[in-house]
This record gives sequence, C-alpha cells and structure tokens, in this order.
Amino acid sequence: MTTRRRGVLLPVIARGMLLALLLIGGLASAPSSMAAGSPAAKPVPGWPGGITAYQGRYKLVKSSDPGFAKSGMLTVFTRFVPRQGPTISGILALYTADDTSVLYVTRFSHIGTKLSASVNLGIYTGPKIGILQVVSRQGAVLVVKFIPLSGSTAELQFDRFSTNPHP
Amino acid sequence: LHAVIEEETLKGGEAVSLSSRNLLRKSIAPLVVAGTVLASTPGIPPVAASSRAAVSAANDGWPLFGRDRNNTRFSPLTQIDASNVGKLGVAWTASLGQYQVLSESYPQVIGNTMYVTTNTDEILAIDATSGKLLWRYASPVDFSLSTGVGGYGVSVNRGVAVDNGKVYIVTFDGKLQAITQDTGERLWQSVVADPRQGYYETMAPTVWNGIVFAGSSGSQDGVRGFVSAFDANTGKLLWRFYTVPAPGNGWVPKGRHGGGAVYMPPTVDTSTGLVYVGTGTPSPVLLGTGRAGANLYTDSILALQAKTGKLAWYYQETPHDQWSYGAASPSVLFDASVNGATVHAVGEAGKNGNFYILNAKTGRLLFAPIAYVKINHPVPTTKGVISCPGTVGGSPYSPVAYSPLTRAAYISGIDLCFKITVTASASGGERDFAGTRAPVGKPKGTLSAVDVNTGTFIWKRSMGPMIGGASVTASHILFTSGQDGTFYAIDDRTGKTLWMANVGLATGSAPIMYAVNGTEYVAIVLGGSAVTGAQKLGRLGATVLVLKLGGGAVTPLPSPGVAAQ
Repeated sequence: MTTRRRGVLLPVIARGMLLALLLIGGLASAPSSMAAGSPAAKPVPGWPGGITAYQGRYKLVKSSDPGFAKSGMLTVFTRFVPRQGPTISGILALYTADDTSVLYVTRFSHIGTKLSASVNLGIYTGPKIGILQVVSRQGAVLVVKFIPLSGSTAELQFDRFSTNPHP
Repeated sequence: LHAVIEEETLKGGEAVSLSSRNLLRKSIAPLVVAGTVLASTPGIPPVAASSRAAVSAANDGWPLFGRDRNNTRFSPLTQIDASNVGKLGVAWTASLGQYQVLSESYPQVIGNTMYVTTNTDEILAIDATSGKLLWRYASPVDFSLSTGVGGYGVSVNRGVAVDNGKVYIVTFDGKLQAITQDTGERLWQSVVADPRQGYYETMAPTVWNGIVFAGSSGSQDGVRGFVSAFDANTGKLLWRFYTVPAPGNGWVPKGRHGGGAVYMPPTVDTSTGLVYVGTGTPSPVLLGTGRAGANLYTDSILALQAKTGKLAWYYQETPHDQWSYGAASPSVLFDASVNGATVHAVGEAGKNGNFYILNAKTGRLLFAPIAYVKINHPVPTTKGVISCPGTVGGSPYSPVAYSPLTRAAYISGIDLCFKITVTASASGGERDFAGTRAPVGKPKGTLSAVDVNTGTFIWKRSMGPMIGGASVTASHILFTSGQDGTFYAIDDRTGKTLWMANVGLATGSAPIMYAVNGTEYVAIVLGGSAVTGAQKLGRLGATVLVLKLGGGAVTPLPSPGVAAQ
C-alpha cells in the first residue's frame, strides 16, 4: 500500500490543547466502574487467566472509525521489565490512508471483569494518550474500545490468528 | 460496529462526531496559519558580507545524511553568524503526526524540499520554506516484529537517502524501498534482512554511484551482522559482507550468531572507492566466555571496496567487547596534517568513549585514542561492576561534525556510567543480552572539539547528555540541541555559547542548515531518541523546528499526551 497526501502539514499541539488533554485525561483514565461512584476498587495488575489466554497476534477486522484505523495489528506478548520481570504488554499498529501509528500498550489491569490497559506513545514509558478497555472476548475475537484522552472513542474488533506473539 | 459515543463525558457531555485523530487535527489547524505568518515576517537581514570561503545563500541544500560525501555536517553558509545569531526565530514548525513521539530522523533538503522520516517509517516531503506538506508516504510495516526481540525493538528511523529522482528508506521490518522523489510513489522493494531472526532496521541507507548500502540492527537480539549493497535502480542484491563468521565457524559457537550489527549509514570515500562501515557489539552482549579472542569484526571500522564488498582493512576499537560498545557513530572523513604531511583520515566516535583518527587508506591509527568522556572498563562480573561509559555508550550513534576551517572534529558525548552485571545466558527480554544494566548517577555529557592535526582537544565543555550530534557552518557556528530542550549556537573555535533558546523538547538527531531564495535556515527534528525515552532524559515529541533570522519568537514546544509516571 502506497499512500500520498497533499495539503497542509499538521502543526504542533498548542499549549491550551495540552491543558485540555490533561484535564480530560483525568476523567478518561478512571475505569468506568470507579467513575460510577462505586467504592474505589483497586485495579489488579494483569488480565485474569494469565498471559496465555491473550497472547498472540491479532488482526484488526472492524473499526468504528475508518479515520482512526482502516487496518491494524495488535500483538500481545510477554515483555521483560527491569525490576518487574515478565510483564504482559502489547504493540498496537494502526494504519489509515495516510498515517502509520505504533502505540505501546502497557499497565494491563482489571477490576472484576473490566479489563483495561494504558496506551502510550513512542515507547512503553512514553506519554500516555489513552486506555484500551476490553468490551468482549469470545474465542479468537477480541473487541476493545480505545478511549483517547482527547477525542472520541473508537471501537476495534480484532481476530487472533496466532497464539504465538513472535512472527 | 458503530461509533461509540458513551464516553461523551470525555468531552463534558458534548457529542463527539469527529474521530479522535480528526478532532485533534481540526483543533490545531490554526497553528499552521500562524507558522505561515511567521515565515513571511519581513525584516530579514541582508546576506552578511564575508571574506571566508562563503557560499551565497541563494540556494544551498543538505542533500546527504552528513551534507557532503565526507559526512562532515559542515555547511558553507554564512548568513547567520555571531553578530546576528541572537535574531534567530521560528520560520515554521511541523508536527510529524498526532501519534508520533521520539525522532532520530536526520532530515535532508534537496532544492526546496525537505525529506524527513517518522519513527513509523513514513516519509514526509515538506516545502523547506513554509512547512507545507507536499506528500507523505506510508507503507504497512509490521511493527509487531519487535516482539521477537523482547519488545525492546522500539521503532526509530534515522532518515532517507535521495539520489537520481529516488528516495530510499529501510523499514523496521527489514525492507529497502525506493520511492519517487517527486510524488512519493513506491517503485520497488527488496528484503534487507529477515526480522524473524532478530534483525530490525533503524538506519538511513547510503546511496552512491548506483549502489545503495544498508546494514541492520540487532547485535543484542541474536543476529549475524552484515552490510549489503543493492542496485539503486532495481533493488537487486549486489554483495553482502558479513561482519562475523557464520555460526559454528571461527569464534562464533554453533547456535550463536555473533552480533556485529551495522546501525548507521556507511560513509563512501569517493577518492578511494572505499566505503567505511561501523560495526556493533559482539554477542552474547556482556558475556565474554564462549566467544574467545578479539571477536572480529565486531566493534570495528571496516573499509570495504564499494563496488565489490571486499575488505580493504579494518580497525577494531574494543577487542573482545564485554561492555556493549561498538562503532555505531558513522565515520567522518577529512585531511589531517601530520608531521608536515597531508593524511587522508577517517574519524569515528566509539561507544567506548574514545574518538579514533585513522589513516583512511591503511586503517593505521594516527593518534592515541582520544577519550571524550570518562572511561572505566572493568571486566563484568556476576556481582556487578561500574562501566563508564554505560551501555548506551559515549556516543550511541551521534555523528561527528568536522569543519575544514577549524580543522576540528566535534564530538557529542554521553557521560553516564552504568552498573552492569553479567549472567550465564540472556536474562532479560533481549535474545542475546546476557546481563543487566542500570545507570549510575546523574546523566551528564560533553561537547568536544578535537584538533585532527594533533589529536588533542581544542576545547571541551560539560553539557547535559548529548544525543544526535552537531553541525557547523562556515561562519564558525556549531548548532546542537540538548536533552533538556535547550538549542545551542556555539562558537566552534572556543566552545562558548553565542545564543541559546528553550525549544521544549529533547532531540535525537542533529541540526541541518540550508538556504532557499537568499534565506538561510537552521532545522532540527525534535522529540528525543529511544535513549531519551528509556532513560527519561527529556521531554518527548516529534516536531520539525526551522529557524531563520527575523523569525517569530522561540517558545517551548509542547509534548503530546500525559507523561508516564
């Protein structure tokens, strides 16, 4: 796929925009069960069932917003983190007609049946830009919501085509 | 699936109809207009008269990785000089993308067009005077391949090569692609390396005389290093030089791979027909047992016949490396005057903290290695030792600049020790990194000017950690930028700061200077390197900043998202 685009290059984000991101981010990063006013349940690190229940390579098959992603790949795997050891992690590559984005998924956690993870830019410890929330998981089909700190949510359906995360 | 609107609370109850990407684009669009206004601000001073070997500022680009074949990062432009550098201001800025963070891209300017890459292997062709996007190229690179190297394979891309109407890029997943220079359409693609074996790409390729040269990263990930040459018109493999023996041969035991990866663009010497290639650390990294001897040709500068790949000579900087060093920084060529004789020489800033000056024709060392940062190389143990510089090196990949006016090489250094502990086998996420490492103390750095005629320092100053390199002009200004977001203009004769400004973001590459229609510009891609991110050295982003005399006020650029805790 070769893509081209003519027009005005995206400028840098304004300070005011950043402030908005920060303010909105405080809301977005709270799990929905906590935002509803229930007693503050503490997120449990990881996703229930262990890494083998999730690890592998997933292909994006449906997107609620083609402007967000027309195609993509999610890889869930075990990453070695200094002082933490093996840690469930993810790489989310998204392709639109004119952009390639690589997002780093980390801080997998759950509260009851609500599963979420942090989405960071550039590197696992990079700036957080949103969260992934699992909507459903049935067999090889994983549906997640990407909730950015700013902007609208995109719902993404992935099909796991390999339980081996390594190509 | 349908758009999910239940997170309306994210926008204070306001219904959200735009995608998150489009929303952000719309919100920030007015800044482009602001940039255009700044770019057309009147009052640009006239071209400074100069008796130096000056070049008219009418049109002068930056057509190669290091501007010229010698890879000097020296610009003959003189419009910006010590008398007016304080009037530098913003000509234009351009984000590399909403979800882009980190940049190790070294831009190039040919004619009126700047070519810059993103860390997701996109190429942007930008009007060099206004920042207007001309075209953007993207291809479906498989980034999940980095899981094969334990997730440490964070993608970076250090730029393109442009020649004869084509733009060349190597992608993270091991492909060499040729793109049309005018329209950004792909012509062909070749396989450089198989990422399933641990290879991944970060380098800018080099093109010369119909040949494209490319190596591959991955010493710590279980690869056998190499550099390859491809036909620039067809992508056909012409030759490949492996930097280490095949598994089960020589010093590489069966089941091992040897390392010796090639991380940065080779430098072609048009006077000798040689191509100089720096090689990476041997593997298993840190663990020296099981790989006896010097471990050739790791941590070396190789001189190969450009047309055939035949080895002319080699110089190994760190025999039997046990500290994760290597010769990652690309070589720079210059003529040194040694004992009254002119010697064509090659310089290289090793990760081990030494700068080397060699006879370019023979590989013979001209001067004793020049330590540009603190050096301490104890043999690693299972209890741990303090290694200086640390595993990120004195120079992780930063190119060295050279001015023919001062006869000085300018070296950017990281002065940071690491505690390294060796283990019996790979213990972390990387396939072939046998140990652990952690920084010790506060990160510092150096910027040094070395007289290439004597191998001694002209000046050396303490800085924050320096990553990305520097560039110099004929008006004796060295431009560079720090991890703390400070952009510097420094007198290349004295090392004294002439002007500095807070640009907000860390850097992972070096500035370039170019001129279009009588105006000289200084450009740098800001955002920080992978080292910046891993060691938390500065604020991250991905923005092209272009300065000119009489431009708009320089203010700190923002970083996207929320900084990770």
